[in-house]
Amino acid sequence: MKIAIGCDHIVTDIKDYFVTYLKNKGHEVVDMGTYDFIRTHYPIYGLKVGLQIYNKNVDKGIVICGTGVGIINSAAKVPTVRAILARNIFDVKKARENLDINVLGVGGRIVGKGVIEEMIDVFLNTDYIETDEKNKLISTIDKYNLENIEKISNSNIFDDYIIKWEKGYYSD
Amino acid sequence: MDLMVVENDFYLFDDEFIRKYKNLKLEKNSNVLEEIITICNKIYEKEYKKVIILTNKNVEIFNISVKQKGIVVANISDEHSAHMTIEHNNTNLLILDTDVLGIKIIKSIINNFLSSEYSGGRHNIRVDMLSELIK
Repeated sequence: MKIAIGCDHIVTDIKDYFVTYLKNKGHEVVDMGTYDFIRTHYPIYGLKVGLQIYNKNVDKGIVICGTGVGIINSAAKVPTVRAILARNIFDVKKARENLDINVLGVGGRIVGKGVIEEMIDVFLNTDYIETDEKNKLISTIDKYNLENIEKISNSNIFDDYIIKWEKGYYSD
Repeated sequence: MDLMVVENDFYLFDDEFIRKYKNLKLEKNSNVLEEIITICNKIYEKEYKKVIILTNKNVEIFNISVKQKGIVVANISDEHSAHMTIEHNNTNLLILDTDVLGIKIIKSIINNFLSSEYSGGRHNIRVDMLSELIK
């Protein structure tokens, strides 16, 4: 499988661990970053993974941040992304079987590597169990936010915010 | 005003628990899936500040709500995430999966969620970026 993976600076080492994990299992990995521990912003990387799904460049996506909430929200706002923020194997299996989810979110400061490894295995190997009712819901969900796709595909979408950040607008 | 919607009668909240949260309205709804967009609109229009949903249709409800305007949604199952997601993400919708959580930890998660405040500061850039994705 071809898998996109993204994270913020809090969990870069965990992301890197799983890039190796996936490659060792024979998957092709598209690492969207971040690539170091320099402070950055989870929406950048969640959006990148989400767009890989929308553009059908990859089969599935994985996103990681501290709790996982911020980055899964970022990816899941992209049209055609169907996501779950998971804490255990049960969460992942349920989400794959019922909504054919294509992006897995993980809290790198919440769940340990052993559980994450098994969640990823279940995410990649569990089949969607199709019904007409589920297909109809998936079709509805996949249309949400399509009207914004041109804007969110623009690589400059966050430029104004980053300029403000660099000028110190967002200080604590 | 905050809102808690409970899908399943099994999760009964005693009056003493509810009285702790002065701004919390409790509702029972056997089919939150049909109502979730309405609830999200009420969050966006600031009728509700924080909403908690107890359901076993967490996957479906997460994926519908995350794509509505103004929503930051956390489907979590531990107390640390419950307060961190308020402090860092300014989360306004909490989904708790009744397939995996017992009543005692649910109460503790709810307490953490409702008692926490958003930190602002550097986190605002991320919240602003999220809102840029759905306008």
